Amino acid sequence: MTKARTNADNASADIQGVTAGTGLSGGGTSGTVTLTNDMATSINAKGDLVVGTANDTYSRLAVASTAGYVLTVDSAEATGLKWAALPASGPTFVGCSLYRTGASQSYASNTNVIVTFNNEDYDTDGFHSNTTNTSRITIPTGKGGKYRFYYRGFVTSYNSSNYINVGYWVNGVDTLYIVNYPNTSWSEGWHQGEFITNLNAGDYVEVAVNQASGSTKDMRTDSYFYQRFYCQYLGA
Amino acid sequence: MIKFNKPQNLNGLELINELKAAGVSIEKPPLIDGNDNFWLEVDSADEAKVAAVVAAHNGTTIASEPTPADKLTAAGLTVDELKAVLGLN
Repeated sequence: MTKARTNADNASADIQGVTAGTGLSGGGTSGTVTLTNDMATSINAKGDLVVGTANDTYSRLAVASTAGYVLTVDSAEATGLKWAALPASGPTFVGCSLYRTGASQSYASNTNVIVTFNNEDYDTDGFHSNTTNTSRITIPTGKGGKYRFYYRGFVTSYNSSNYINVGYWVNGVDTLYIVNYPNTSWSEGWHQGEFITNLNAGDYVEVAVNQASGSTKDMRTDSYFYQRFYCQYLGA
Repeated sequence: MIKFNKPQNLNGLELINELKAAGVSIEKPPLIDGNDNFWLEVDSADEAKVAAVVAAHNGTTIASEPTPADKLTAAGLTVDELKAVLGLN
């Protein structure tokens, strides 16, 4: 048998008050009660964000004033986030470009002549010295990995159809030869060769020219890119 | 590789033939390194014999073709004078 509800029963079941919890404001114990979402009112402008700052706490992060900025994690910020510019696009070049000026280097016939370089177009990481071991491109500390090398040059007065070899020497050991057969109508022995290899820090690479004209020849040196020895770091 | 005195007039092919004629086994061309040192890949037992051949070597050399500037100078002309003659000034 069910017992009828009394007024006392009804009074105890009434809502006594509304309290604003986390993220809310307002409330009351009588009449019409309004609760306001504090997270929503923290926003002042288009693009603003509400970001957690600790357990059960939050703060407004105003939108960036610069178009194109992106949201970035930064533990030094109160919100742990900040607006920042995108990193510069594209990789940073690592390598060098070498050449020779002044007196020409002579190439004895049928002899491997290690080429020396006393000038640089650029050298990002101290690969080369213009004064010490000037023939060498040495791999810097922390830059071990795959490398591309390219050498080109002219031998002057080359009225021969005999070969001009471009040889790559790694740590003083002949490693690769590229055979060139000059066009005799040019009267200049154009020669070139490319080499891609894996190297460790401290390894060094040199290029040797071996021309078979039958007599000593000179290399052409001037500022018109006739001769260059390039090195390009491809990656670890 | 053994270092020798670099011949004044070096011709690698001729030197290899001279070494072979003297009974020296050599397969690789001579090397001039980045410090202008001269090296030959020969057996150390042959070092004295090789040194004698190298010292006697006088390879074929042909004078390089003079440059256009050299030819002008030899003719007593300057570039500006040549331009004037050709009506290029």
